[in-house]
Amino acid sequence: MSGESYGRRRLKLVFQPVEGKALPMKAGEVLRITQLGNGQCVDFNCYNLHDYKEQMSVGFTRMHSFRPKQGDFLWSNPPRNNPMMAIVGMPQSCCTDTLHARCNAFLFEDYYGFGLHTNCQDTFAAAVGEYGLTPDDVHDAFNLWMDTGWDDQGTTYIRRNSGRKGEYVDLMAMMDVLAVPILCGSGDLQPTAAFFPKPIQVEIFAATAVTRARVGEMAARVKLKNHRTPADFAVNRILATRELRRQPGYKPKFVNYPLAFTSVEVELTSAEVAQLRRLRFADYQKDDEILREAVMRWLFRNRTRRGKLKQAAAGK
Amino acid sequence: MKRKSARRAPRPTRIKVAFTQQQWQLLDRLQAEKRWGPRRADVVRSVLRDYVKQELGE
Repeated sequence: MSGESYGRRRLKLVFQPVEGKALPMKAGEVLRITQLGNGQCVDFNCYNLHDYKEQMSVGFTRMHSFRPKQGDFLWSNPPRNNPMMAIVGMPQSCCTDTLHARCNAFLFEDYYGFGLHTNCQDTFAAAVGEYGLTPDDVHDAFNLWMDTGWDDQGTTYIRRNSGRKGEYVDLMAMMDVLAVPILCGSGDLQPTAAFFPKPIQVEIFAATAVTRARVGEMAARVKLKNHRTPADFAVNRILATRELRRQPGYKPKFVNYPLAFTSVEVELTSAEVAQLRRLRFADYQKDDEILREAVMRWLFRNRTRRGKLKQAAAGK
Repeated sequence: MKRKSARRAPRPTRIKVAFTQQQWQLLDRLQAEKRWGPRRADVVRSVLRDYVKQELGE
């Protein structure tokens, strides 16, 4: 989306290492985060401005993409499952991270023996405290300009920050949100800021008729029945105490429970049985198990959007 | 002299396979498409054939 369709700039801030701020935004407004140096990781949290229990879910966002990029959404936690922010501008050189959650004081004590080192958990907590949120309300971060991965042994790693001065990312609010960009606190020890933290610039551009319409179009594209609200919850009162106590007489209501199983008898020729056995997905499988798995794999591949995308990506 | 008996076609193998009601929801959509066969058993067999074609090219 072109920046020309954004409204007037209503906020411009420079965050020094390691600041952050909670910024209320209305749907259709755009948050622009700009590199003022070469390579600074920016962590991001996000809450529904009218219900903080709905917050960005890095886990659910990761189910769509390990590295969200331009055109992708940052999603809220299940069972809400709403797009909270749309990535409407992002240079290809900006790697994003959904793996490393957020750094915290414990890690730096564990790794280096620091009594207290700057860290994202505490920076987020300081920022969201302005709105009455507690350190427990800080959630896993979506990280901009952070290039992470993992090896065959499951060990994660961070590559050197590839960000360049002047690059920016534009995030459009899909609902009214409390957006919380902060500078990562690990930058002087890790490749997240190439071992030297730098400032960033944060701007907010007002919504316009064009951006509001865009929000409407994008939201309509991903609208399904299962965006739940507290009105749909079996239990929807937020606990006011820290101690957990069993609720006497509580009966859980599981979905489609108990599951019903219905069998059908399928006739196969000996040639088809031979083919079926060549498909065997695991050595313990009997013929009926192979048949069921083949059918379900076919359904995923040919009757879901994601399966078709995977096929296209594999060049099939 | 004994008459040589006519060669019989090999008997098909019958496989009893269970699906959950949720899986049947998807399979019944295929049945509604009409091109996978009239009965549930036909749909399962047709889908298997298509999967074999996709996977094994046969």
